[in-house]
Amino acid sequence: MREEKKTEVVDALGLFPDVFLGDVLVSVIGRRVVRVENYRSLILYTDTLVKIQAKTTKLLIRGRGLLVERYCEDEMMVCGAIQSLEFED
Amino acid sequence: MGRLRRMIGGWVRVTLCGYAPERFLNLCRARQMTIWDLECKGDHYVFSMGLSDYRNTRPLARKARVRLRSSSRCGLPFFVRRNRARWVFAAGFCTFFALLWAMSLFVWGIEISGNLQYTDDTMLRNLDTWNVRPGTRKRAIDCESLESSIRAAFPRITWVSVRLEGTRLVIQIKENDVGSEDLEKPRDPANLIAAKSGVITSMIVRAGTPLVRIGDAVEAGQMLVSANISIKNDGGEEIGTHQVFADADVWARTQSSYTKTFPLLHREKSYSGRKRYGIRIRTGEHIFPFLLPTLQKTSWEYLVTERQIHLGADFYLPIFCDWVVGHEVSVYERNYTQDELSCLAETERARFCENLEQKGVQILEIDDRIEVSAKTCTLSGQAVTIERIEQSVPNMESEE
Repeated sequence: MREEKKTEVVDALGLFPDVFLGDVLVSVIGRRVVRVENYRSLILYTDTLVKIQAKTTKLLIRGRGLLVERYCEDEMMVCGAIQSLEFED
Repeated sequence: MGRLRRMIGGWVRVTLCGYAPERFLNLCRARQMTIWDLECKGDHYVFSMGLSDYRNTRPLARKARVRLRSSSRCGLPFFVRRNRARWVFAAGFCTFFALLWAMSLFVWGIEISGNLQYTDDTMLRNLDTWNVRPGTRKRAIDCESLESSIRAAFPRITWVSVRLEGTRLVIQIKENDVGSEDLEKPRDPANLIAAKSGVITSMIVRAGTPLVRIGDAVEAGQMLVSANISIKNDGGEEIGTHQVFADADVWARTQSSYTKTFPLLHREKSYSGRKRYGIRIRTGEHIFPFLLPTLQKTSWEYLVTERQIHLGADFYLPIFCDWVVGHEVSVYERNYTQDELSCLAETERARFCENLEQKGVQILEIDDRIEVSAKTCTLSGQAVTIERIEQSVPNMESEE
């Protein structure tokens, strides 16, 4: 309830949800690159699955030949043949 | 930029295997360590990280119960360590650039353009008296004061620009085309005397009292036009004199001659056609020639083409790399033949006439002779000319 109210207020005021709600930022470039920001940690990494823990959800990146081009405090870039992006509660 | 920073700091390629590799990666991220090119190779991972970060991973690896092994090392720290025995090479490399920087602080070339009446040598000699020469520090040259000095030293220069381009001092000048002698003519009373003996053929007097007439024969030093002008009253009696700067054009028929004596026996060069090539490195007073050696002891004549080394258009260095071409020559002595003497006489006569014509002298007739003795030859010539003979001298009465 509280989270819903918070979301409504952020939407109404036009504020950035990733800053005020801690949402994960996912940028997809074609089918080859996925850039993830505002995440907490890496849960699992194999060459076909990358599982990332965000604040309120989990992000699954499935594909083939996945490799992490950059992994640092601010962002993470996953490259390879991306097949799907899923969010898991 | 990031890649450059990695190369300077150094980075390693690490193989990761163990119990919880993801935990290890999260621990690195929490300590603000950057990892890149992470790949999953089945049972192990391979990634790259900076050298300084890698040195702090031991407690993290222990915590995550993983093993790390570096497979390759790249970057400046490893390069320096691998080549630490070759420090002389590095020192030479740095010394080269340090010398280049040091030489860029001086002027090594002076370029003068636009000068017609003043030769480059004349201007360079003047610049030398003002301590401006190749090897002078750029900071010691004040372009504005140098421009003023040039304008003051050379009156015919109306515009001058001095600027420093790299290690070159570029001087552009513009000279005055109009002659300035008339404007600078002194106005003190002066007489006109004859500079040479002759017979007066034409006379135009603009100021002063003429003492000779057309057709008179005059000697060198004889007064032609006096500076004194007598002032007469209505009765024709002289009541006083006024002194002026005598001004007149006096043309007279004169004689000019030339004589040249030289020995009949002279040295003649004969070129065999053989050549040799080489280079010569010159810096300051030191010269280092590099020529192919010859086995025969013969005489050679060398032609050197100087070339100053420069990087780019303006960065001149105090090193000259000269291209040397040698021609084999054999020298022998012999007497001039009659045809050669005639050619020499013709050349001397032409040179004499050209000199006279440049001075504005009109040549009416010219005779020349060749006198050959046992060992010498004398070329002589006499010309009848018409030229201006007036010469201005100060009036001695006005000085008294």
